[in-house]
Amino acid sequence: MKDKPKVGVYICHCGINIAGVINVDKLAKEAQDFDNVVKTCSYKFMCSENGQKLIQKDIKDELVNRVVVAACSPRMHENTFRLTCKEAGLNQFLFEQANIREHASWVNMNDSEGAYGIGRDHIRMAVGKVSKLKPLELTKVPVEPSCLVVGGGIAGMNSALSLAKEGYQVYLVEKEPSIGGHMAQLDKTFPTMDCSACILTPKTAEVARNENIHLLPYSEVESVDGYVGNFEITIHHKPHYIDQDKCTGCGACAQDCIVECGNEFDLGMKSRKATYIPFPQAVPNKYTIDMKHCIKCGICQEICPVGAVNYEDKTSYSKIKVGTIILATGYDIFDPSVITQYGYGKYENVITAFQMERLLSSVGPTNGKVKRPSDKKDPKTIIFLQCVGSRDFNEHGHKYCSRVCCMYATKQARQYKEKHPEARIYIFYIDIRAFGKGYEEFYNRAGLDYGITYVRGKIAEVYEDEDKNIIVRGEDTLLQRQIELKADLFVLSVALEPRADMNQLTRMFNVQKSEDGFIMEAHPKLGPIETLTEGIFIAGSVQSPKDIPDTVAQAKAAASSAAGLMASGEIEIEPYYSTVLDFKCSGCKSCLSVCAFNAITYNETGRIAEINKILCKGCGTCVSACPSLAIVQNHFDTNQLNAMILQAIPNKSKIENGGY
Amino acid sequence: MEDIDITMFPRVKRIPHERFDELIVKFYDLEQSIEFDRCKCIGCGICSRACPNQVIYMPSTEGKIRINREDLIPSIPNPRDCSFCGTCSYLCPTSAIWLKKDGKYIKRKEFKIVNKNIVPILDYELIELENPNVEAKAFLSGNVEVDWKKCISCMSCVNVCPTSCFTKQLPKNEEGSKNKKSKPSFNGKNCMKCGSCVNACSQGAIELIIDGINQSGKFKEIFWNSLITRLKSI
Repeated sequence: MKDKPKVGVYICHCGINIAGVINVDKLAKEAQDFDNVVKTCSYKFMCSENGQKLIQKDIKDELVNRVVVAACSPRMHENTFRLTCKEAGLNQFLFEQANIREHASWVNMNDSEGAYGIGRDHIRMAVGKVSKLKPLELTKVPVEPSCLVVGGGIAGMNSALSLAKEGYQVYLVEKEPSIGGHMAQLDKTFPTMDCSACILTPKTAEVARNENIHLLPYSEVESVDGYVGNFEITIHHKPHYIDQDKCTGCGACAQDCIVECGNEFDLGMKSRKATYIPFPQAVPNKYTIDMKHCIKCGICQEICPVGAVNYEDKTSYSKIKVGTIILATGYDIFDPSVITQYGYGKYENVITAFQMERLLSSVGPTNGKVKRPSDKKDPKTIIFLQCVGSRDFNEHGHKYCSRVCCMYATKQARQYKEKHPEARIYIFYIDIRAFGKGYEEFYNRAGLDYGITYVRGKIAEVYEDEDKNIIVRGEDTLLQRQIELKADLFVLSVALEPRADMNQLTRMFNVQKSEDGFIMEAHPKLGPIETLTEGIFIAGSVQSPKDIPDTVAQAKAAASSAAGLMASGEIEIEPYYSTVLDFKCSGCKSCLSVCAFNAITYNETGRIAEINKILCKGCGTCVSACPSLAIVQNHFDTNQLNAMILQAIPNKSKIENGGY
Repeated sequence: MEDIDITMFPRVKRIPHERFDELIVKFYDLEQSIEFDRCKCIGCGICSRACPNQVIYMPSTEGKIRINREDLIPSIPNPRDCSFCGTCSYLCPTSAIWLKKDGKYIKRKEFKIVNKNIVPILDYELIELENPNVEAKAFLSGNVEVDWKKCISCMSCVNVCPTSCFTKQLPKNEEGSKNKKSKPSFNGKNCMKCGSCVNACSQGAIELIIDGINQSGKFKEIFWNSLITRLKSI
């Protein structure tokens, strides 16, 4: 654009958020004197329709050809105002937003003068930059109408089903031989006491039946290439040693298998054969051989009526192309043996709540009759301890609240009380967090109708007596006295924690981790489904610990977001990418090593670096790393940034050597 | 002192007795255990080689020159990986390994590998061992070859040989003879081809070539043939 820049500055009151601290009228007046500014005005809500019309009118009247809006954070409304400009016929990248709310008024509530000064500087910098901006066009790329869902738990299944119903192809990758995840291991679900398997199995069956879902059990994602709309995924299929197409699930192989080993599904508490399905209702209902325990005796090979057993089965790989990805890998269970004072791993009758869940399950190791490990007797006193590994600021613990432990402990206590009304149950807690729908009522009844004793306080130490009972010492902080109790069974309500291979996952999918180790969402409030990598969404406990209703809600939301992205068949990518000036590039490859998005390749014939503009996220790292100043980033080039710096320090007339 | 590993299920207990070590793997619905008789063990390593899951480890003798029978007693560091198939017990020449299910000993003919005809019947000849005073089953045929040039006369083979095939030869007191050292000598008449001497020799001077097993009856080839290959890989 060769026209002289004519900048319009529009200052938003944001109700009293900005105007309550900063004198916006004075600011508007002062801004008129800034370079290239032809028009300033202030309005109560610039983002409102009337506010937007003010800007559009000036553009249409050809009064202004650059727009600065001084308002909230660009994260909030940059897109709004860009559309405003676009609708009025101005290139949407000739707009700049000055954040005078978060950066000026909010942080200087009691210093009106100071806030005014900061606001003024921000506007001056924005004006400086907007004068140098160049019109840019959005890049359009086609989108593959298919989605990869990683993890076949309740989250992954719901996402897959929602997308499949909308007609998209879904690849559901699950690392275990069957889908269902942690929910399949639960006995009942709070607060409605629905049998977990009963509400889960219709879903698993639906997933298996749906023609649009390609179920890939016993597989893991090996690598991810490409970009939003066009991801190329390599999947690693672990060998089942039983031909999954031939297997009919008759179970003859398992019946005659001579090996007895631990079933992971029952957390090792129950034995299983070396050829197995994890649990009776498993989907797909096909057998797998556990080669670690198989002795290759040949019996199953002989007995299989369809000849499906193949000891020589090998790992295989397949490649798929998808437009979007939903990560739903769930959580791991905290190992409480690191907190030595609770005696887990030292005393036999200390178990985790997940082991308790299997003991309560009617298909569990004891067919639903809770027996303590040491002598298989019914426990008469059970003590639950809450917040094991959560809300724990010590070395091994997690700072966050795991959100489900208060409720699952209450649920387990109620379940045991239903069968053994004479039993004494104590729950030691810090706070009871019963926040969900129907949760508080559920907790209330546990105390009032079931007679479960809640003791506020943590347990300091546990011992074992000669009968292997657990002696628990702690403090009742409500009565302010020390207590000592004898329990037959001591249950630790352990935390949910990020998957052990989270680092691998985040690296492979190029998503960020938050401080707690779970995956970081794009925005804690407005983008809890998206990740910072476009086209990759998250569902369930991969983001933070969640109960089942929240997980299902997020799973469906993730499916909807993914579908929204794929629906139009193509997507627009912001043109902030960097480009290599080939006449300046010396081919030193400095940029290749710093690019976090694998967007830069080295052209061997031309001996220069090349940037894939779709993969490039516009972070600018390569620009600063390039020793030859050969990389230019759109919308943030050196000229534009220098203009901002010059405006920030107006007393210096110029910056030597282009700022470097 | 019993040593319990109960950080996870199945729970594992190690109970060291005077004569033997007991290893218990405890599920809620099942308790399996394996007993290793230290006094009967001749350190042949047949169990370790035969194990289809490769969970029995021979102790490392690296850096040791003079090796006794106690140095060759195998162990199962991770009993959770054991399939309790009984192959080790079935093949142990001195019956030093016993399996128990829910606390009761399992008779060898009740092993599933035996009554499902996965392994053949072993045709053996019983040999009375002087030390450790037990009978041993000799069912392997083959050949022991000693490379005497490598021998450093440490007498480890003499220490471990259960059938006294290796004996200590005193130096001849002839005039002018430079050789004043004792040397072992080998007489393979009673040899049961167990391989203890091979495990014991730090110089790698002894080689055991197993050419067959005296067997009869039905067996599963896929299992037994790979087992023989492992047995031969000494």
